[in-house]
Amino acid sequence: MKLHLRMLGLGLATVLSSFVGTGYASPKPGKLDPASTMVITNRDSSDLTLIDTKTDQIVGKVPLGQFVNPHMSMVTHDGRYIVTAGTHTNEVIITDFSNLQVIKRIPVGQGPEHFDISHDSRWVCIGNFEEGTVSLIDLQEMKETSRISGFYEPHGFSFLPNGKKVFISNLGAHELGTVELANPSLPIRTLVGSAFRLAALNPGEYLSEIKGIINPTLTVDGKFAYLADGDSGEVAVIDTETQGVVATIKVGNQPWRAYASPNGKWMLVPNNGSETVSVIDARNHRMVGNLKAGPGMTGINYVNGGEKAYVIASGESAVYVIDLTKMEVVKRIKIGQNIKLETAATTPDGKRVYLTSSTDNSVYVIEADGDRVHRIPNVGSSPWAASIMHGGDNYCH
Amino acid sequence: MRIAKCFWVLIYFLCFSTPLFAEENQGLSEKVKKLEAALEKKDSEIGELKSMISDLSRKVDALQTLPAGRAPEGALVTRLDRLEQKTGQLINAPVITEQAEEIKKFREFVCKEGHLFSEMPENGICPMDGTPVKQREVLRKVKLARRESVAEKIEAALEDEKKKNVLVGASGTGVFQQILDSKYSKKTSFAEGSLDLLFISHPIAYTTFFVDLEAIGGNGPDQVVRSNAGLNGDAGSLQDTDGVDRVQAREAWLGGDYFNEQVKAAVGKIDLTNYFDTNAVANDETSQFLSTAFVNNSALQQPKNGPGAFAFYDTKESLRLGAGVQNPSDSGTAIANRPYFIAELDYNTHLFRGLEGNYRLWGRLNRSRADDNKGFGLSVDQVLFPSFTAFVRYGLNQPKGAVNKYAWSAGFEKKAVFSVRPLDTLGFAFGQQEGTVVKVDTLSEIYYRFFLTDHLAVSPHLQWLIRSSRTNPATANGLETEKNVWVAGLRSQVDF
Repeated sequence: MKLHLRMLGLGLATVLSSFVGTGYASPKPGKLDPASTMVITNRDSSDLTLIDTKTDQIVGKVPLGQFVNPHMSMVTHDGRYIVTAGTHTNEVIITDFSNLQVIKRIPVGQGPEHFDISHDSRWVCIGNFEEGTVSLIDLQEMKETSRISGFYEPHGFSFLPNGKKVFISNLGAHELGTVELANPSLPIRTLVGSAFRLAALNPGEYLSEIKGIINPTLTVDGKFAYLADGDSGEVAVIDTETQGVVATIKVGNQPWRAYASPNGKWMLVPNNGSETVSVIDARNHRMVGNLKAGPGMTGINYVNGGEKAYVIASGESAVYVIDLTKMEVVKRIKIGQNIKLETAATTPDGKRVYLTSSTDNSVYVIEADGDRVHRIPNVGSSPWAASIMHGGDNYCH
Repeated sequence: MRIAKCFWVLIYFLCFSTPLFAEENQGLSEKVKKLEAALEKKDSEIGELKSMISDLSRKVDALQTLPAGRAPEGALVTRLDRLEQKTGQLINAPVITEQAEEIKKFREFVCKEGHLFSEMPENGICPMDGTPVKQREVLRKVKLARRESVAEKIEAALEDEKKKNVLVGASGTGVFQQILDSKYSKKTSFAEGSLDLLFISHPIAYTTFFVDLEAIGGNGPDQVVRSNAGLNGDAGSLQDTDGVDRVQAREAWLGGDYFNEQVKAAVGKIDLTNYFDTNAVANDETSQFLSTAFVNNSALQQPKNGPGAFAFYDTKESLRLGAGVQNPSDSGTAIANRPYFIAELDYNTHLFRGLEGNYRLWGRLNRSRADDNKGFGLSVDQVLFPSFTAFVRYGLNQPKGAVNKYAWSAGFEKKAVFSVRPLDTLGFAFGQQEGTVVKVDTLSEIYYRFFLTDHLAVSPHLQWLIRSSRTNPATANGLETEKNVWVAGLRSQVDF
């Protein structure tokens, strides 16, 4: 009996302390502004945490269900829904932003992770990573309308601004798939990089692991897609009209993916093999140079309209600051000791970056002016991805 | 009052309802009959049900009274069997499995701008841009329905990792030799040791980078018993004058197998004797005969290891042709000047009772010597019985400018002399070589190699050298025997 009482007391204390510690305020349905609410996806607690970017207070939580293991979330461009990939339960979860209630669970294929939402907020294209298929979901009818096969670890997705096509990168192959929504069952395929040549010369290396393409990154005008191929160390530039390769740029070893600056000038590509960041002029597809950075880079976030970039070096729990007007690394911000930085999102005004840290269940906020950092603790277990409507650099890894 | 009412009702009933009653009476009577029939039927069915319940009760009683261990019968038995089967499957399959992944090669057809097709487009023309398509092999990771255990996946990953890494091997040889002749009373015992570190990597497909680093300490009995034959092929100290051991790169070459493994070639610092004048049973001083004369032909007169190249063409049908060139100096300067050339034709056959035999014929040209000394030789090993292999070597040189005029040797290797020691080896060899200063060395050696483990072997050796150094018409063969030396030795060999 005594033990039961103690356990009850301990439980109550834990619950109370968690509320006190987080400063969690009850959500007020209809009051949250999706344009200023950061959505944090917590993998291990299987929930979403909503942070008001004006106050940096946690203003809402959305429990998604047991063992959902969500990978990433996005707010639809009209602000009506939060779409979440339930990786473990093989479903796409739709949450109504106005009342933070889960309104639909749509079954998809095995291991859904990354996705993109069309600009008219109607379509979701999500990759079933373990199954090698892609699901198209109609948000008007709230159902899966197509499941397209022929992909190899489909990893990254980008809708054209006009919503007619979606580009899909394969991590388990060196090719891009393009799905036209008018005829989704027949994806157009494009070879990226020259890994096939390297594989012919060194089959032992390339037959054991494939480092394909993380993401198709569109230029701001949507005319070109940049695809970094991990094995060949090359970035292919694809004409989004023809899906043909118009340029191939040699970057560093094991490039991660390209990140487009909001001013349309630059594409930055972190190279994890050589621990550099390649700077490409996105207007003429030419390499500008390589900047020294850190290990285990998982993302780049632009601020101040693309004049500055934060490079997340997860391998050393730090962020490198690149001044793109000077084209140099101007600072290294040590975020913490032995913490694992994941991904980040930039606010729509380009003034703040919200960076998730999975090991200490925190989100770190970096102010673009002055590079000040402060921490929002106890956001949930293993925060993995951050996303905000109309925000810059909404990406996952 | 109530009685009066009943009276008037009765009168009314009797007066007006009598005809109706008569008609209804017949109908009612039929209904009653039907009901009686139905009741009889139900009674019968109830009787049957009672009988069934009674039977069932008896069966239940019988089941309850069954002795322990006897299985019941019928549907229950089937269900129990299924349950047991499922339980057994669960118990016997505790291995955690995961979906398998594999990287596979695919043949694809690629347009100029990278558009990909699994099938060749019509007329080989790209439907996207009208350019000719090219065929390419690409790699993709595929998920397989096959399920692998975690242990299998770990093993495969370790194996993959091993292939990517540099392979390292080490070989250590220790030799103790004792001259059993009283003429060498002061210096009669010798210890010698060598260590080889071997590195192999594959920097590009079908290509090998090989390095052999060696350190040797001790010169063996050859420093006092000078002979053409050599009593220790492993000796030759690399120690500096200050007593510090040096390590030398015995070999360091980049080579590989090309054209469907039919051509093997390498370039770098090489030891030609590892590739020419080879022999299955007499070619390794660390595991076979210790004497230099039984490791390679004394007439070969190869230069010390240095920069060079070799190539072999293998028909894969018994014949193999090889050629090698090497600079006689290890300095690295003027490497094209006056090199040493060698060419060899190898024939592999199973003509003798289906047993393997290797016949090699070589010719050499040593341009490092002023007179361009030439020579030729052969090296044969033939399996005569499944565990018995004989060998013969012969070499003849142009006398002018040669160190040895000729050399020959013969012998055998016998495996599993004792049935309880199937991996032990016995070897015996006998041979002669004549130097240009009229010296004939006659040498014989016998060894027994004890196999202890895959990494360790020990072998006692006994060598007998008869060395003649000058002419003497008084003797039967015109030579005067100067020394008759017996040497006993013990060799240990470690490989890993």
